[in-house]
Amino acid sequence: EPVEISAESTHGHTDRVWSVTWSPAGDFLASCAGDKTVRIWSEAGPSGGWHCAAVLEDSHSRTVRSCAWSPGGRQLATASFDATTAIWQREGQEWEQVAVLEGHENEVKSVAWSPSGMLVATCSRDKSVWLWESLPGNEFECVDVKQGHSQDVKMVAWHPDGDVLASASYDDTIKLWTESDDEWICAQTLVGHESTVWAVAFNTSGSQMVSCSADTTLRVWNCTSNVDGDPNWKLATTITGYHTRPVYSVDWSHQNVIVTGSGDNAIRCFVQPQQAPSEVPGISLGPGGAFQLLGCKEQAHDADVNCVQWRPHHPSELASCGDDGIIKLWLAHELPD
Amino acid sequence: MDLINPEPIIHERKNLKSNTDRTTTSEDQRDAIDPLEIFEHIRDITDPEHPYSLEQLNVVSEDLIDISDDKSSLRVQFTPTVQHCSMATLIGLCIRVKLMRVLPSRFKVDILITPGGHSTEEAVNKQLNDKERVAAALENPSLVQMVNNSLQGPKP
Repeated sequence: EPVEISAESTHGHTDRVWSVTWSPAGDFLASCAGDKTVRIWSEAGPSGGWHCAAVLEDSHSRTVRSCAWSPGGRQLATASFDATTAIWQREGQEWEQVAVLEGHENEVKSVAWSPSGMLVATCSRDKSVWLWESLPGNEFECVDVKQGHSQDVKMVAWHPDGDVLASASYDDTIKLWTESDDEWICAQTLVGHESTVWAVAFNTSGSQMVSCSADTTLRVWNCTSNVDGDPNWKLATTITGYHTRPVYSVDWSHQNVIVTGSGDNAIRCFVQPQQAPSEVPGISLGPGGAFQLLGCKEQAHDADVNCVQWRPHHPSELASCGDDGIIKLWLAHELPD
Repeated sequence: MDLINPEPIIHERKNLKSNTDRTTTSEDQRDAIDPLEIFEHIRDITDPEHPYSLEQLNVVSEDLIDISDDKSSLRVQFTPTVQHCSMATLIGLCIRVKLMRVLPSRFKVDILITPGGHSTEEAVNKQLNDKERVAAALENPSLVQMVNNSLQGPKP
C-alpha cells in the first residue's frame, strides 16, 4: 500500500538541497543548500500553495548543510561548510543574523537546539561535538568541546528529554552524551552499523532511537536500564533489505511512523505493528519487535533524497529535499492512528 | 619533491573505435551508454604526478567498468600504480568529477579501487563515495585546480 498521495514541488534553490526543517509550530519550513543560501517557506493562505517568505544569504561563504529552529521558533541556527554556525532571528517578516558561532576547524555538518532552548550542539568534520549555551543578549558561549569520535561527526540530535545528546559519525558509531558535574561525558558508544551513520531520530517518548547508515540499513535501539538503574541503549532490530543505496535521513513521527530518505531516490515509511506478526520477510525479529514497510515512493526525487522530516501538528504531512534541488511536501494517507 | 612511483610502466594509448564509427540500430534510438564510452571519458585524465594519462599508466581500463544504463548505475574500478600511492584519493576524485560533468545526473556512480590495489583501499573507497566529503572537497579551490589540471589531459 503506497503511502504517498500527492506531492507539491518547491523550486528556488539553484543547487542540491541538503536539509529541510520544520518550525516547531509547523508553519514555516527552512531549507538549506549547496547554493550557500537558506530559504524560509510558508503556506500562502487558504488557497494553499507554498511560497518563499525569506532568503537568508550573504552570511555563509560555502554550502549550508543543516539548520535547526529554537524551540520557540523565533530563531534559526544554520551550520555551514565554512566552519561557522549562524544564528538568525525573526522580527516580523524580516530575518536578521544576530550571532555567529565560531570555533570548529572545518565544515560544520549539523546543528541541534536542545528542547529547553538553553543549549545548541554542533558537530564537524574536525571530529568534535561542541556545546554552546544560549545567554541573554544573543550571546552564545561554548561550554564544552567533546572529542571522542575518530572521524567526521555527521549529525547531532537531542533526546526529547534534553538530557542526552546523540552524535552519529563517519566512524560507523553513535555516541550518547550526558551531563555529569558540569561536564558532558560519553555515556555510551553504539556499534553495529557497518558504514557511516548519517542520521538518528528519537521516538516521541524517547524510549527508542532509530539510526540510518551508508550500510543501507536502519537500526532501532531501545532504552533499557542497567543494574545501577542508568539508561542503557541496546540494539533491538535491524531493518535491512529495503534500501539499495545509503540512507541519508530518518525521522520518527508522533504517530510512530519511521520515514527514510535514501540515495536510491525513494522515500519509505515503516511501522511497528502492535501485534508483531510471526514472520515478516526481510525483517529480523528482535526484542523491539518487527517493523513493517508501510509504503514506498520510488523516484520520490530524480536524485538522492537527502532529508525527510514530518511536519509538526500535521500528522500525515512530511517534507523532503534532494540532489535535484527540489523540496517536496507529501501527504501520507492511511497512516495508523 | 620525491615521486611516489619514479619509474612507472607506460602502456600505449589504444586505438578505439570511436562512438560515431559504431553501428547504430536506428536513427532515433539512443545507444545505451557502454563501458567503452565511459572509458573514453576517463582514459585521458592525467596522473597528478606524471605527464602520462590514466590509460598509459594502466590505472583505468575498459574491463574494470560496469555500467547499466537501464538502472542508471555505474561502477568504475581503478588501479593505482603502486600499493601505497598517496595520490589514489585525488585520482579517484578526478574520475568522479569528470563523470559528474559528462554523465546525465540520473547516474549513481561508485568509484572504487580495484580489490587488493591499495594498502588503505577501504578508507580511500569510503572517502570517494561519501557525497558530503566530495561536495566539501569540491569547494576547496586549490583541490579543484589540481583536479582541473588533471582533466585537461596530457600536454602536447
